[in-house]
Amino acid sequence: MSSSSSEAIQLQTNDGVIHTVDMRFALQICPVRNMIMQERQKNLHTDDVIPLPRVDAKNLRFIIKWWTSVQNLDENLLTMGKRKLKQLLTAEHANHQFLLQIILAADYLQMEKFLLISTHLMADALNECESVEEIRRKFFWNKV
Amino acid sequence: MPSASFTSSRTYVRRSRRKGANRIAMPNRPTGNIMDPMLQQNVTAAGAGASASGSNSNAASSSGAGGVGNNNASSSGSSGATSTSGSAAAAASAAGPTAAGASSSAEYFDSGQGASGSSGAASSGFSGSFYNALQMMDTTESSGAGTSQSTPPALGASSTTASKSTCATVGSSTASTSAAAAAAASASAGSSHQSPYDLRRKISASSHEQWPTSSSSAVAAAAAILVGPSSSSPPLVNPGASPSSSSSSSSSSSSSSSASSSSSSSNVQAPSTSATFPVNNAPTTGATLAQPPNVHSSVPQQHCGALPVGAAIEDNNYMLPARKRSRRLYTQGGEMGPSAGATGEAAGAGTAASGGAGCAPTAAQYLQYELPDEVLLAIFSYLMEQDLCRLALVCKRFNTIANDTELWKRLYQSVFEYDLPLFNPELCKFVFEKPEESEYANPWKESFRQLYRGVHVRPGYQERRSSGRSIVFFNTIQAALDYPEERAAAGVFVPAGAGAGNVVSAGLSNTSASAGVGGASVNALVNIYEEQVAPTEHPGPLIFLHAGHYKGEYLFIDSDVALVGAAPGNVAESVILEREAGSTVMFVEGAKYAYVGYLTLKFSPEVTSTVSHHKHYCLDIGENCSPTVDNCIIRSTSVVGAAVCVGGVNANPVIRNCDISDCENVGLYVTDYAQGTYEHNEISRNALAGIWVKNFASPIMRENHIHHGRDVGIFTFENGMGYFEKNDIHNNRIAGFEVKAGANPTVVKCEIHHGQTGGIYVHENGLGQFIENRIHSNNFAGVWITSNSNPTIRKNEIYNGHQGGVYIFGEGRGLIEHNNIYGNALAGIQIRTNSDPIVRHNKIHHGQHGGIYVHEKGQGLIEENEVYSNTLAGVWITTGSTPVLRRNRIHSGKQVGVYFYDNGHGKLEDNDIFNHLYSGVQIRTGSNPVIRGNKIWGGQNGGVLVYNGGLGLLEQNEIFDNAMAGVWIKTDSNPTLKRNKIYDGRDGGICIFNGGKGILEENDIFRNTQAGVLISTQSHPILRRNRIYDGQAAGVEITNNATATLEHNQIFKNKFGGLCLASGVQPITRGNNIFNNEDEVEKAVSSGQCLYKISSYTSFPMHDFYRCQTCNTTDRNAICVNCIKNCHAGHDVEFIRHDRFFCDCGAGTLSNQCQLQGEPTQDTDTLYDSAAPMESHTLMVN
Repeated sequence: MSSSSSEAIQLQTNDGVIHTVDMRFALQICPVRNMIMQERQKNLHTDDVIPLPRVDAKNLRFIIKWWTSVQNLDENLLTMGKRKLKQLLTAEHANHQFLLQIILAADYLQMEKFLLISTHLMADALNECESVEEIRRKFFWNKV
Repeated sequence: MPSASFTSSRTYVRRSRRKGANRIAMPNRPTGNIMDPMLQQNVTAAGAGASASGSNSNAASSSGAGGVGNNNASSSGSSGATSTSGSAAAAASAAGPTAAGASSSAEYFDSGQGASGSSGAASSGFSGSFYNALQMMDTTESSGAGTSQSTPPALGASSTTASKSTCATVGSSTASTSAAAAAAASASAGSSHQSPYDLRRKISASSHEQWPTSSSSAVAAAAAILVGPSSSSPPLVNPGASPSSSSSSSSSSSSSSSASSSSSSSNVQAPSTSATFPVNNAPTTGATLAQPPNVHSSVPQQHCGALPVGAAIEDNNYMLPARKRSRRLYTQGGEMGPSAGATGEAAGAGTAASGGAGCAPTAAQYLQYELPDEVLLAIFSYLMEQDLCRLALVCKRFNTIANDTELWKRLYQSVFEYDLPLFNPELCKFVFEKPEESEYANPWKESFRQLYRGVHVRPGYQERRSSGRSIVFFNTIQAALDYPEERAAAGVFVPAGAGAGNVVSAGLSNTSASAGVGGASVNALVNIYEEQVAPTEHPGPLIFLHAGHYKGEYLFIDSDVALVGAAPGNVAESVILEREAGSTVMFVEGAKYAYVGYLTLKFSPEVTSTVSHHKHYCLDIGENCSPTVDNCIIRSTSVVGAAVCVGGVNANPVIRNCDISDCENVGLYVTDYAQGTYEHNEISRNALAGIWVKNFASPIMRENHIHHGRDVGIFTFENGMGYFEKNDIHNNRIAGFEVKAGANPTVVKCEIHHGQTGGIYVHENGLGQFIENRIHSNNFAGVWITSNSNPTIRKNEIYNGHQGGVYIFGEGRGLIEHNNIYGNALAGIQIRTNSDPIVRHNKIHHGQHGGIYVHEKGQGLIEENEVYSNTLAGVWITTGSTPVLRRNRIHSGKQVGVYFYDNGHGKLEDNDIFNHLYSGVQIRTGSNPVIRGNKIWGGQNGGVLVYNGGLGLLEQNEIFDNAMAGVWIKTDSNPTLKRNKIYDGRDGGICIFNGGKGILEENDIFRNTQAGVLISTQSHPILRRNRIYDGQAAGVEITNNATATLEHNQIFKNKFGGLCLASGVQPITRGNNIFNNEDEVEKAVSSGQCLYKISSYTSFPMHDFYRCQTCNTTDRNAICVNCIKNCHAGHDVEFIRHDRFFCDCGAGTLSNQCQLQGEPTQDTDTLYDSAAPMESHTLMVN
């Protein structure tokens, strides 16, 4: 147990929920990857749960779901990933608030591809507004 | 009865609403105010018996709740007792189904209001969130209230409250029913200690509790209501199991919405269901926190408090404005304080609840605060320019991020491909600026704004459309040129792919329309007032040509279109327009503010083509148009036509920063009254002239670079004109600048140098003004003027030429003044073959040849020049030339000052001629100048030398302080000297020998070191009325078989004899006056001195001299008479002759020692040897 690498990593979100994720997913998360690589360089292995203090369970679960569905897409990752993300958001009946939450989480987790895709989706949402008033009404209700 | 019931129901609805408002107001009022509403209610009660009973019951219930919230326990108990009495009275007064019906109706309508609130929450996401938050806070408050009720009197109050609550819920239930309810409540409280399974049972018990309520209703509709709650029960349970509060809230909202949609009757139970759930949660918390007995006592209290609060919330949602809602929220938050203080865990729970609320900010909060700038920038990076402009108007933060420089740079470069932003600061001007040097905060965006109206020619992009970008792409230039015409015909600007309501597009459209109007206005002005008023904005369309080789496109521009290259790196090199059949680009009438910039224009006619290309050019600009051609590269392989042709009346282009090079004919051809401004162009390595200007064309050319042409740099001919300023013209194979056939250009401050022939060539009636130019290092003359040309050459520097500075020949004329002509290999100014220039105020110096050279019948008026430090003569006049030289200063030359030879004539008047290494003036070989009023001095040779048949008239000159004779006349020369003053010579005044002649009249010859006039060696001058005086030797000496005619001369005060005649000399003398001469020779003889004592190295007394045969001296060893008497007494001596000599005996050159020898009485160190003049190099050269 002390010398072998585990195939799963435990991540704890800021609401105390522990998520057991595949190593390949964990390596997508830049801070986690750095930690894992440091441990390996020092030939250490711990079973500590890695805390993610700025991500909550719902967002992380959603990101895991997205990654699971697109992890095998070596080509057209951006195109298909964006389509998949849109499908998942639609299925969740998510609003722009949720989209912004996962963008913020992706920024914290430094998941570049997911950040590209999610910001692109947000840009499309902004682009659908044809006037300044519409943007304000949709995203800045208290300014109306 | 049904009708009566219906009417009664309506009345109840109205009154219930009003009373609801009153109830809402009560919590915020002092205790004293509580009584006032009650009084009002009493009045209302008096109005109707049955309704009054119901009202009192509700009011009492509300009052009790308020009491619990606002006052201490005892007060609450007291209020409760009062309420109970009211309730009992109501119950007592009520009788039969009527009362029960009334109560049911009241409940029904109150529930209806709640349903409305729920609907509102469902429609608005925020409203829903707000509602959920309120519920959460109410739950917390209930927990706190429960905890505070721990005393026995409170317990009693609780019992009373429970009973009251039951009455309120059931309506007309009996006492036994009330007891059963209390028992049920107790049972529920008891079960809180058991396992989770028991918790679920508790929930079931709650549901079961509702069942009896339903059964108590006699109405058939009640059965339907029962079904509704049953269907909603399952989702109620599932959310309860969920750990996420947000999810629970969402589910609750969904349940409410679902209930609302199922049927209106089911709404009666929905609020009850929602209210029940918090109660279920609160007991769990209470059980965990407090002791069992307290739990038992607190459960009923919580249950009692929750319902009214829930109802109040619903009313608040519906009735209260936003402000009051905020106050209520704040108040509840304040109430949490004491609760938290009372119980630590309770406080923790509250904090957790608040934290939970904080974890769900709105989209606005995310966009305003939460997201870092980098993420917003990433989002904006997917948007187009019009989208960014919209976003920039949303809020300050969006404005800042949407104006990011890098963001706009990427957009800009994806459209235009430039490495630097291109600006359009004024009409017909497009310049690249470095972003760091730009005056704009965001130069890329500003450039984008200025150029956005342009259409693009970019093959492969025509079908691309973006929603946030209203840019049109075309595959061919012709299509792009046609598009604006179609748009103009339509009369409205509608960008493709943009919505009608697009604000940015509207702005662009306005701009375009405004420009159009401006253009029309300009046309009107031109037509009506014939006044040129340039529009402030470009009136025509803007077309960007992207990188590529556009072959065969026919560009015939008759409108104000602007064509601009668009490419990365060197823009012009990447965008190539090439034609083979006709002119590559033609501008014709109508192209007033047209623009072509940053392109390569090529004209490559087929060599085998039979079509005549004489009128075909790479760039053809016709009459009545004034386009701007900017930063273009122009190449033409046509051998019969220029690369650029500008021709026709009112052809007035601006050609700037272009490169017209390596063409097989003329670079730039301006003709037929054309004008235009040509600046900062590079015109080089063309097969013929760099520039042709012809036929009254009058261009303005500034700061062009014209070089390495295989012909003239600039060629103006056939009445060509023009203004040429600060051009750099060099290394051309023929003249840098040529002016021919009536051409009349103005050339100012140009630099014309390193030409393989001359710098400036003016011929065949050429005119022109050349002012302040620098003309240097050319292989031939700096300036050539010939063939009746008459240019003005002023204030130029003409230097370092490999030939002369200015060369005027073939009947050339011209005005050459104020120039600085120096360091040239040949004459500074050369005038020949009947040329007649005016040469004034020039400085001609340091030439490697003469200063001014006039020959082959050259003429010219040469005035007030300074001619100095030249290697040969300052001025040469020869071969029939007749210049006039006046008031010049000719000095410091290494040879003669002014040299007349080979029939050189002319006038030399009022000049200063001085400090030459040779004579000031030389006249020879038939030259016959008039030399009048000059000052000739300081020569290292004679003042004036006339020889080899030289003639000349010398009048009124001052000739002084020369190293040799003031005037030399020799070798058959025959000058006339009149009224000259010849004095202070370091040799004789006038020396005539070797057959020299001459007429000397009325001259003053004085203070010379040697003879005033020396006549020798077969010369025969005529001297009339001269005054010869004050000399350091004889006045007139005649020797060596010379003769002379001396008439009416005055010879006086000379150191030797006035007239000294050698043996055999018999002059013709008449009327001469010889007096007061000192006769030093005779005095020496008389005193017995050796005549050597009065001799010097150059001063020879004239007297008898002998030869001593005893001492074996020769005829050339002269011995004076006194030495004969003393030193050679008794010797056999022989008289030789009376002539000029110095005594060899006294000189010590004989073997016999002179007994009279002594040092000369004069200081001889400062005297010069009297010898014949050196043969000059000039003489040998010529």
